[in-house]
Amino acid sequence: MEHPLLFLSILLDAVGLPAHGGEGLLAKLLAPHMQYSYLAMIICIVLAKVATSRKDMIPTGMQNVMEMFVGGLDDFLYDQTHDRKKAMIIFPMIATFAYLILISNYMGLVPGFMSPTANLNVTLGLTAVSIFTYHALGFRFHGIKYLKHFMGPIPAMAPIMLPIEIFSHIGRILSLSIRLFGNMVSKEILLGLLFMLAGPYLAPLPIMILGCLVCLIQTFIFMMLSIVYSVEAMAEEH
Amino acid sequence: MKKVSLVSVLSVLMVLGFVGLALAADGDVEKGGHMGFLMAASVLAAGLAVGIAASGCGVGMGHCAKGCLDATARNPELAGKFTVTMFIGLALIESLTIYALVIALIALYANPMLPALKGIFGL
Repeated sequence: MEHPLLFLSILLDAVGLPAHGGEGLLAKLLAPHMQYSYLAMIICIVLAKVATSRKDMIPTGMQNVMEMFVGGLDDFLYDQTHDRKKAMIIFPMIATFAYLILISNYMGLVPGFMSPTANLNVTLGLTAVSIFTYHALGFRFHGIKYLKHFMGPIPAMAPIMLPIEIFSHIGRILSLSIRLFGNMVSKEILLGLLFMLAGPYLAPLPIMILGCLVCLIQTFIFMMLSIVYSVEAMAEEH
Repeated sequence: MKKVSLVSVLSVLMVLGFVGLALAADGDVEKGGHMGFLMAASVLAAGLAVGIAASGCGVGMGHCAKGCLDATARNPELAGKFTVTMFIGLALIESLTIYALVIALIALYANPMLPALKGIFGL
């Protein structure tokens, strides 16, 4: 689904770069969803730089807001893991997911911008990071014994449990990526339909309010499921 | 029970109607009939997928909201926690409908069968 008006694409068109996707490496690197995910990354980095540029003991302004977010996230992770060390291992990934996905989702509500997360490639990339990290953490905490997690509790049941477990882990990739993508893209399609069919002024407003809520909740769910998977991979065997 | 049987009879009638349509199209246009039937079936499948998924999810979300309201009525000071948990549950349930929606969109806009069948039927 092509958006009618994208500011970054118009800017790149003015410079003379391929900004609408297509064949070739440069065109793929500068496709619209890539442009807006670069923008989300830049916003994240600038926010972090601004917040940590002048660190005071008594925080003011931006630092105060960011400390509230990061502190809340830290407490939340500790509630989930009950272990300070494990929480600190996955904290960078989870905090990055939280900021990047939240900014990406809300970007779609600004006119002339699109959500990078309304493209399956972006959400698959984020999911790949999450899935790879929790398997790596499993191998780091249990060594080769991590493979026993896939075999179920009883050794005799292993041939039956192995395919089931493998399918459930493949299903995680699909569900984690398609959930975020589907929610974002369905919101955008619904808004587009209402704009075209019911008039541009008041009809899409309820969906936009719902969209604000959905953006926040889907960010939270992506974060929460990444935490749950990582904690499960790091947990001791019973 | 009466309603269920009515719905099933209606859907059987609809399917039979489509068969007649497909056969008629087959008779009228030698090569285009199968493609037209496939496109119609894609649209029908997309609508049915979202409809059936949404009905199931509606039941699930109703149970979720009922549980949250019961818990809030018993223990009003924990209402905030219940509400947050309910919203997470609702979003998880809702994503099932979203999967069906993605399937429906694939059937409508990116149907993988259509090019292959185009090749088979020589269109």
